[in-house]
Amino acid sequence: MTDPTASKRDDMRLLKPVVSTVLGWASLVAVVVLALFGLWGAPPDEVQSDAQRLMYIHVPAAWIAYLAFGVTALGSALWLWPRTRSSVWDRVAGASAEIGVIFTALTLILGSLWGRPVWGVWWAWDARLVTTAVLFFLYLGYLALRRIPTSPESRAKRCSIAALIAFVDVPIVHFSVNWWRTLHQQGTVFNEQLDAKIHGVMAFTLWFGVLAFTLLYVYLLDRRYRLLALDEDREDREVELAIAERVAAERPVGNVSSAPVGGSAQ
Amino acid sequence: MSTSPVLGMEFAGYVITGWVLTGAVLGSYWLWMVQRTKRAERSRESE
Repeated sequence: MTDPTASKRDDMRLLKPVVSTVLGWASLVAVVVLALFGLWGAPPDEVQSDAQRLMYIHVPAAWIAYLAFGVTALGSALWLWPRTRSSVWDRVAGASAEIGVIFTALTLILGSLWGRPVWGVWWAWDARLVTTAVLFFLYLGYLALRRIPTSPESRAKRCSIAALIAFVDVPIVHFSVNWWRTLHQQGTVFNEQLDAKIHGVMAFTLWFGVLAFTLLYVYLLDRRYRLLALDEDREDREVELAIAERVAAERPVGNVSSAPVGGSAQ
Repeated sequence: MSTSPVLGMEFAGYVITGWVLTGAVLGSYWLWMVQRTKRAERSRESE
């Protein structure tokens, strides 16, 4: 015999608990190693001096924002496609968008902290900065859309469409430094010439940062997915309970009305 | 924030603020998720 609730329980986790735990510890170790290299191991930059140390978290944070919104777009597309439609994809999209918003906020804040000593300003109306700020507000709107009370089906549909529209800004952010040559420098690694302008320990630290943040992203995605699944499960149980209470409240009235009038006197 | 070397680092105020802020934001987010997950699991088991 098969347990009818088994499939529901199975989709409440993305990863096995043991994998999630290992990933959590691996992320923590990787971030500590990144901090050691980023703050002490890597030499100061010739031009930017120690302000460059912010790049070891600013660039990986921006990469995670791209990745997270890419996963949101993919999850949304898979939900919209009738053959692959599943609440799993809607949850993946929602969880990933929230993490993406956090990393986009960090990207903007870290860029600002780096810009003050290097550019002399906290903020500039530069193409990269503006398109990144637009990205942040687009996905903040997406998260607000997810919170509007409606049926799960309707929420998933409208959010999937919104996520695909918002994702258009991701390539605009990435190529903005090539299309509009304003204040922000072109890509250090992925530039038009595909000629990496970073080497040695500095390059290692940057790549290690990308790896550490990617591990952390996968771990956080799993945790956020689990929490979303538990919240949806609680909402389902609350609805079932409310229906059961309503039915129970109506039942005695129905029994009285269906009983034969004066039946006991006969 | 001074540009003179602090802890042997120029712009130390900006750099340390950035790293500490990143750690605090990600740590707080993780802690919030863990606490809410535990609460939701406890409530589910009690029913």
